[in-house]
Amino acid sequence: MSDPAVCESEFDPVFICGPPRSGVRLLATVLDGHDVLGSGPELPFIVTMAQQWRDLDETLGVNHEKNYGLERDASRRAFRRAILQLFAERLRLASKKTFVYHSFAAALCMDTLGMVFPEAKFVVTMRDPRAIASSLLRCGWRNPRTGAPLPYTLDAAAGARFLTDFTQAALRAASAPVLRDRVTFVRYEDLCRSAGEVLAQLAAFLAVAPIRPMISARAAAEIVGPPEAAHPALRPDTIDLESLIHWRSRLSAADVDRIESIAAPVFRAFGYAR
Amino acid sequence: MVVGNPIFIGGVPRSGTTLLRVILDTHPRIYCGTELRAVNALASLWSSAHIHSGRMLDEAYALRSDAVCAIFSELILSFLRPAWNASGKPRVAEKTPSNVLVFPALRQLFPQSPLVHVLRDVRDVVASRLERDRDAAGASFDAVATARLRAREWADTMAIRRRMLSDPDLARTYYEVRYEDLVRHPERTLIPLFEFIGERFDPAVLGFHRMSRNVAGTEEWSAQAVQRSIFTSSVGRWREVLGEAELAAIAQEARDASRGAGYSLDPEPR
Repeated sequence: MSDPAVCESEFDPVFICGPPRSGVRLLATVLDGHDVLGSGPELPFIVTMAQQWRDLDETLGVNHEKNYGLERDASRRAFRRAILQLFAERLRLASKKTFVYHSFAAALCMDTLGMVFPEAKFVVTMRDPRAIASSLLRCGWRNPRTGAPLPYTLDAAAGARFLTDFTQAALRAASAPVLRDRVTFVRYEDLCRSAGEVLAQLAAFLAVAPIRPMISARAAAEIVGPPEAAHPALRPDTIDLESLIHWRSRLSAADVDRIESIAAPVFRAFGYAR
Repeated sequence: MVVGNPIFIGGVPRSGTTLLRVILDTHPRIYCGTELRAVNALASLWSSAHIHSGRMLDEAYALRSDAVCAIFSELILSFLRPAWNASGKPRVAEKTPSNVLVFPALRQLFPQSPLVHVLRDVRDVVASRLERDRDAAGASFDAVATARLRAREWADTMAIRRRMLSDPDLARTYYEVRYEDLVRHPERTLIPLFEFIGERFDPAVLGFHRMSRNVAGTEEWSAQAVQRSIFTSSVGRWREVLGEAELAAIAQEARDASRGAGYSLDPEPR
């Protein structure tokens, strides 16, 4: 019947999220090299856990408070503690303090994650929509249940629509009042071209010591997976600038036109012009 | 005897789970509040983590499956703990009908917890649910389609029952209470149940309706029914409620599952 000590002293995670193929894992891999930041392979159910807390709170929170004496904030703290416990042993073994959680899907529920973790900060990666759409066409992703290719990996316009809808939803989540001053954006192109400058700004945002612009082979292998699954930019000890312009040779002029007309309204704000 | 905390109660809605809840809550050593309705979701989260990421949690996060179980079982207990602590009782039970759907997961999360399944004749379950469903649906109500749906839901819980009984490890903490036995022979039915959960039967539990704290919340369908002593008129009430078309639909969906659970749906001799 005892109530175990609430682990409120642990640091809230840093969340790296953004559209697929926008550099989420690249950035997580870079941050994993920091002295106090530690990342790991993606755990998709963490996002589901946060959404489940919000669903329970919104649908049953009043009932739980009335009939079970469960304060509204107590269930949030319980979920926060459970999620932090899942990261704790990995952090301890690496002598790190703050977990860097990366998942592109986290971008869609930053507001909920921000409620579960009131001190967490969010880094949203952005990338030229033409490069993302081009990358999606080559990624070979399939529906895990049916085995069928995902529609947005088959056609450039479908990829651009998916990417645009995704980014709009992420921006809506990022605009939640609970996230004020807790979200920053990192352009993949800036990270590749001016890593030192971008990471210095990021270190200031996260209030940590300088972040080295390096990718360790160990982190890349563990976070990204076996070499054949690796992002083209993730090569040990370097960042591949080639990945910035692949799309020029891989997309037809007609595809580029379609992507630009669909994505421009959303991506112009991030400096991606036609 | 299975003596762990918490005790979980489940079964399809309208099968007598609220009656068993108030009986347990009247016991001096057991707290069983109104439906939490969260255990299914929380146990399903664990299932998802275990199935899709269990190996990764072990290899990359240094969390063995028992450590992951401990995290999720503590998450479930954190919902129960405030009211349980306030009750001052040493045991806690949680009754929500859908708990039965996650009994296999709960067996992993709480290896010492009794899992109590309340069973009732599918025809009485459907008859009782149809009355609620009719009120909710209004003019668009389709009794036969709804009976079919409810019978299918009942049959789904029987699939869980078969799984629990077919695996000796799962069956160790699983216990069935039949509603018909409970209302016709309360003491004879409850004595072995209390023995199973490691508590002594107290005849005072049958006075549950006199305990003001046991008045169910408005969230529970059976709030009225548990404010009076046990009655048997609800057994076989389907004869007054169901027509031939509904009975045929129920038989189509649940005949085999019923037979497996010891309830015959064969027509009664006239």
